[in-house]
Amino acid sequence: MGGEDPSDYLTGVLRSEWLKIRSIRSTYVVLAVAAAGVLLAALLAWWAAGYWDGATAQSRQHFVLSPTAPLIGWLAQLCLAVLGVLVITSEHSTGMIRTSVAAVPRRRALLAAKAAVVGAVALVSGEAVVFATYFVSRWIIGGRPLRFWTSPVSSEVPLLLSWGLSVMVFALIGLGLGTVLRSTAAAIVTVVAVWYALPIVALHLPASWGPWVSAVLLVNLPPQLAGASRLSPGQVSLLSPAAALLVMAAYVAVAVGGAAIALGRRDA
Amino acid sequence: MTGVLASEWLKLRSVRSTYIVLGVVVVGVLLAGLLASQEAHLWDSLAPAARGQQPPMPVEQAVLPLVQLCLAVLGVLVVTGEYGTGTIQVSLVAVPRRLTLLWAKVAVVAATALTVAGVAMVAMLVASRLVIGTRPIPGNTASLPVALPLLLASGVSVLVLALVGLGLGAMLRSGAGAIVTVVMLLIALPTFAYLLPPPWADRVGSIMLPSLPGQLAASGSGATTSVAAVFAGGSPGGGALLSPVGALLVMAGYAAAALVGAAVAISRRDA
Repeated sequence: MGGEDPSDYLTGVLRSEWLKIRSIRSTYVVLAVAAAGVLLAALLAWWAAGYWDGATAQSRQHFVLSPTAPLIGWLAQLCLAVLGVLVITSEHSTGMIRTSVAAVPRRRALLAAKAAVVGAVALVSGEAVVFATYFVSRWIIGGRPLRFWTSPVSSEVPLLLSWGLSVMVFALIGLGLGTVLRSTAAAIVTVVAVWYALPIVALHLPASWGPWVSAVLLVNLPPQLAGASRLSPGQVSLLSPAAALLVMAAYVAVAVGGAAIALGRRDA
Repeated sequence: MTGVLASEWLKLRSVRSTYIVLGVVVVGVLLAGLLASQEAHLWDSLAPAARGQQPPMPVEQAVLPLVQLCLAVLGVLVVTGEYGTGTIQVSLVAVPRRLTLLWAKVAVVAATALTVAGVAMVAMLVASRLVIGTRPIPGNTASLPVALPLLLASGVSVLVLALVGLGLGAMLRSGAGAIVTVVMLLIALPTFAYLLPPPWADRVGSIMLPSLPGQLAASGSGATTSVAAVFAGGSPGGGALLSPVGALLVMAGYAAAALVGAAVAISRRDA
């Protein structure tokens, strides 16, 4: 291996990781669940459209269909984070990791290749799911003037792009947690805590600093990255788009950096 | 059967994940204490006229989803841990009657879940009342006898979640798949239900797992906390259309569906 071009080496590692992710069943299950989110959103929109058509003018005033794309983006965050976890923990549970580390003794190269593959898959599928959700829902709602559903499509693009990006960030957090914890169950439960429990805990924090905690959570970063003025009816945005992007980058840096330290220091 | 029960009990006691799960439950109890002190702090800092405006939420109910998730994960791991390591083959050679093995696992997980949930719920109630003292914070004023029905119902819901976890573990044989499915049932589906148009939000919301303890205890409220609040704002109440008997039947339905699925899966398939 000594005489080889280092870029060939990395290309080989990347190709092997790409082959691994394509050849395990869980990848397809995860992607299918994320895609099923589009159908769920379509169902929600279809139901809302039916309600709208049958409702009186008064009940129409009170009716809100929350934007579906963030909801499905939030679901896709979990799905792809699980993929990120499995990419490394499945190797630990089957013992494959020893073969991998023997074949690629430069562990950081191995991790970088895994991060690149998982990140690319998550970015593409995250964007695809979020955009598909938006366009399918919008198509079902059609011309009905529902609140949140009348703005021009072009004004929604930054938010959709941001949600897709957050899916990639979550996938890399999953990879980092999987590498550090080495246990599928522990890593997935930690992902769920970050994904679900922290936003709820943040709602109960003191008003002086609780909103700042909320603002840096991944469920709230996409709207801030897209420059929205409000996060939810209860909270205004606190971060500029650039700051939101920096916080996202910090999540990735901590997750992948922590993983690099853990993988480099410990025996496989 | 006693021997199988004893071996399952030994297995549960001898894997590290059991203690990690229990450790997380203990952290949840501490979290309840912190939440209570935050509520008390907020109460003291508000002007008398502004007090009592927030929707009533017993502190122990806010932490209940965490306890439910923990015990569901325990239920999952009791089965998938064996498939992951291959111990399941040894277990089935030792206990060739597969349903006996399954029921022994069910009994051990059920007893653990009920005990842990009972202790954790009472500990959270006592801790939060000690911290809150005599402040009449909405939802946190009931004495133990008054709060008991909801505590019991919460304990039963934890039992149901643990059995659902076990059943999903046996059906899917994958820790990741089973845990994610539990999360979908406990978190994602209820969030969707809250966003349905009016009559359906209550109808579907009523049969979602987080809404069941409140209905079983006839406390007049559904789920108290949901991440739907992050998307939709406010604190959606979940549905509350079921009578206590109806809520109990729906809970039993979740557990039965999971266990029947597990029984079919474990007796039909090769290990």
